[in-house]
Amino acid sequence: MTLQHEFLLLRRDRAVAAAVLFLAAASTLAVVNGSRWRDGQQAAQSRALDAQNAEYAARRATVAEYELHPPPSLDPVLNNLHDPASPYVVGQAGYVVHLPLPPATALAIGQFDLLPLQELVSIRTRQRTVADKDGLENPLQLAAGRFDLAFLVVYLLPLLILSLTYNLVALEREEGTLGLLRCQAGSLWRLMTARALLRTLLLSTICSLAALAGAGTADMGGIVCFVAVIISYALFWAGLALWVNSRNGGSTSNAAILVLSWLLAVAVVPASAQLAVNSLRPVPSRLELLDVVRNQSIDARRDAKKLVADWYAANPHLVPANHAGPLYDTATGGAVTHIEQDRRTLPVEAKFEAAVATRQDLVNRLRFLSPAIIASEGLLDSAGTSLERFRHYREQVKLFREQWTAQFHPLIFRKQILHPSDYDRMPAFRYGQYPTARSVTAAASGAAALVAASLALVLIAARRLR
Amino acid sequence: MIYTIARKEWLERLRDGQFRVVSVAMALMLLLAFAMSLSQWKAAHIEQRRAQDRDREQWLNQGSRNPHSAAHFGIYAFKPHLPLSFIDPGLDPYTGSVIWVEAHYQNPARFRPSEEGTALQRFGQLTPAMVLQWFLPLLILLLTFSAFTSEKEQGTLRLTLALGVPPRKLAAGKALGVAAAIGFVLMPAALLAALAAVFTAPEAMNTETLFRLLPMLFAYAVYLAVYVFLGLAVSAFSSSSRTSLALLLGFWTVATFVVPRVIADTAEAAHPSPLASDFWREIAVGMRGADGHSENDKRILELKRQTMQKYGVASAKDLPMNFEGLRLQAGEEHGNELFDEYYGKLWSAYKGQERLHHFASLVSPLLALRSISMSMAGTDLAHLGDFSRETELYRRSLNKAMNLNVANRSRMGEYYYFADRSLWESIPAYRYSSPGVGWALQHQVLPAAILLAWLLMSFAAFQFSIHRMRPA
Repeated sequence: MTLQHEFLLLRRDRAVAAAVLFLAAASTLAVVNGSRWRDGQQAAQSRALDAQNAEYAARRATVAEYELHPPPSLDPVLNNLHDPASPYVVGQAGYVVHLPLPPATALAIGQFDLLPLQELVSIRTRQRTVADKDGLENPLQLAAGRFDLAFLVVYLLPLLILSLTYNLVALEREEGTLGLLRCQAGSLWRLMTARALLRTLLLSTICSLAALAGAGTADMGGIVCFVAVIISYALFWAGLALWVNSRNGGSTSNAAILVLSWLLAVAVVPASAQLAVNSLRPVPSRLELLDVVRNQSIDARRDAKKLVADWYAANPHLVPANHAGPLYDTATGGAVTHIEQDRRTLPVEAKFEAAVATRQDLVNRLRFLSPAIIASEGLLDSAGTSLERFRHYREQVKLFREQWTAQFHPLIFRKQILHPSDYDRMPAFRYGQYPTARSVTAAASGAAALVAASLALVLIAARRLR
Repeated sequence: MIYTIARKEWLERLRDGQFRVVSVAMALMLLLAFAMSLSQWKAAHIEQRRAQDRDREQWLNQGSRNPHSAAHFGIYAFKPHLPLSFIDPGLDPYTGSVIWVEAHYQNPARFRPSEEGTALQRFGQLTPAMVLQWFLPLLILLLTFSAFTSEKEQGTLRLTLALGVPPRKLAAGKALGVAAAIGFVLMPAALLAALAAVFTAPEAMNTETLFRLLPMLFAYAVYLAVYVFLGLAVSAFSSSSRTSLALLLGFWTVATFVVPRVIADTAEAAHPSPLASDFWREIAVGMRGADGHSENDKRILELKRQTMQKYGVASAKDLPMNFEGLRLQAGEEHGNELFDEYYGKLWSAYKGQERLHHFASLVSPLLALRSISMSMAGTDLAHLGDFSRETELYRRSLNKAMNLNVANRSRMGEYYYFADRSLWESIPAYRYSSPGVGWALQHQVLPAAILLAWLLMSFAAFQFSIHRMRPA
């Protein structure tokens, strides 16, 4: 009976209709924006892979042609910088790897527009490979962030919920109908809770439907988590609105308190937490790393001949059979220099990476300070755009780089040339999926915390309204 | 009379517990943001200066080396963090402030701090600009939304007007009262921040900083005044505090959070910037054969033929210079043409997007203010563009000097020709200095005009609402 009546009220409320229309339009825009970004990235990844495949097919064909018609001898020093039979040339040309983007990426882009989702793995130094030629996105766009569904849910959904629930009790009091309501059968808190829940579920259903439309059903686990986070986050704000309503303040005072709470949750606390992270775990210095890398580069180049001699002494099995000339040349010198530079910079890089990782770990601990942080992280976990998934990908890229160099270095040191069969044996990058259980657990723990908080708020409100 | 009304408004605010709590919180937040940003700016400034000196040392002490190899080693160019960037870091976290100057490639700025960012990054960083651009307008709205509506609801407006108080004077008094309350929050924080800046980073204080600070402060004052007038106008126009608050909060939310993101996506759709992978792949294809290292490219063969003809010799070995140096330089020049074309397209896309951001200021005054604020802080697109252009000119001159040294000082086939420190010393150290405030202001004519238009429109709306205001 109560629910029936509330449905009737809901259908006749123009504010509810306006909120629903606004949210439906904004959700559509958010999903279209997110899908456009995801599709653009996927298309660029395909183009890069197609170009790479065509390039390697052409190189292989040239090498096969060499077997039939050997080319004139190569330049002994430059080692012909475009020769497809040179392992040094092809090893440096490298292999493009990318992080596959699941359909749900369109819902929550997170920091994926800032991170290198595609990179070139080669036998060059790690620093050269990792930080080479990227960063062409317009910084204006990066600074603004994307208008995706996650943004809509974290920032605007709470405001819409609050706009429909801030004066549930106050309005009745201001219009003089609260006394009448109290006289009716059934408790006031049940009525108010039902009213708040109906409005909240209506709005969160629109966002959930938009999520389904944007990501499809390919990854049902992720979508279920995404929807669970949306609903739990919405419930938190409904709980907060009920709690504020139960304080018996006026409509205006309720609105001001709720808006300030929203501002605290979506802006002040996250920005302050960011400040705390920057102070407690400062961003490690890239310039310090750069200084070390460049110093090592000078030293390694200066000692290149000695390094090559030492390398062969330590790896006698790589000495070319029946080789009469000098072991040092551009290719062996270059390869050994890269190996040595990587070896010497490893401790600094490890320190740097560990410092970056501890920053995110601290954020993970601080996320419970704000429901907006919990929701944002949960949405990113569900959509497959979390920093953890990116780190997981980077670890695989590191392993692939080792495979790549292991393929080319022996050929370079033995001064062999590439044959078509070497092209057939070249390693290819296969991305190992991020464990679903890990992202589900992360998202579910956040959602559970939000539901628990909203239950607590509703219980306090219920005690006051009884 | 205006003073009396302003005093009454001010006292009312001071006695309001909610206002006291919010004001103190806001002032503390502003102070904290100032303190942290200043200390981070100082650390970054010192570190960058040290890195710049170290880079020069490394260049000079790289030992004997082939000049082209030295060009590959290159140098790093550093974009200085202007002092006011501690108030508004603007695009700095998303651009990087270091460019690797190397042979063959014009590189974009590297080491974007955002790459080391955490998941909190997209919520924004607590900086003085954030407090002034986001939070202070909200405080103003909370101060103004019920300025007239509460008097209407309590019936005191009718009494006040019946006493013969002219509505315009009443409105002016209320505006002054709100301004005084905002000053109460801002002044102590600003004063303490200024003192902290003078004592902790005296190197930041110079005439140029002052010249940049004045337009910045003026823009913030205009922006906050827009919110004061809008708040009072809506309050005078609305019949209830509830309606007034809903309208003002709706505007603030849309202007602060929604419009900047929507316009960024729209601008990118209208003027798409190339994706890095496509950009570099197309350049690599364009450079193929004519990168300065290939002997058999037809353009290089033509250059060789022309050079031999010019000097009347039958073989490149008989030329009075090393043709390999000329070949490397020809490769650079070909690359330069490609970079001009591709970076030209990139920057034209950026500028197209920026133009749309400026026009979108008609919907959100925040966009106009942000543009001016970043520009005065030296952290906007225009400053980045200038740094990139200047650095590219330096790169081209450095590479040319290295290649011509190979051409003039070595013989054909002399692969192990090494130059020494005297060549490295002949290359002047790169010290970029940002353009002056006049240059920066030239790029802000449209946002400044729109911000002033906002001020006029909000003032007109304020006057109109006062004129039409009815007691209840």
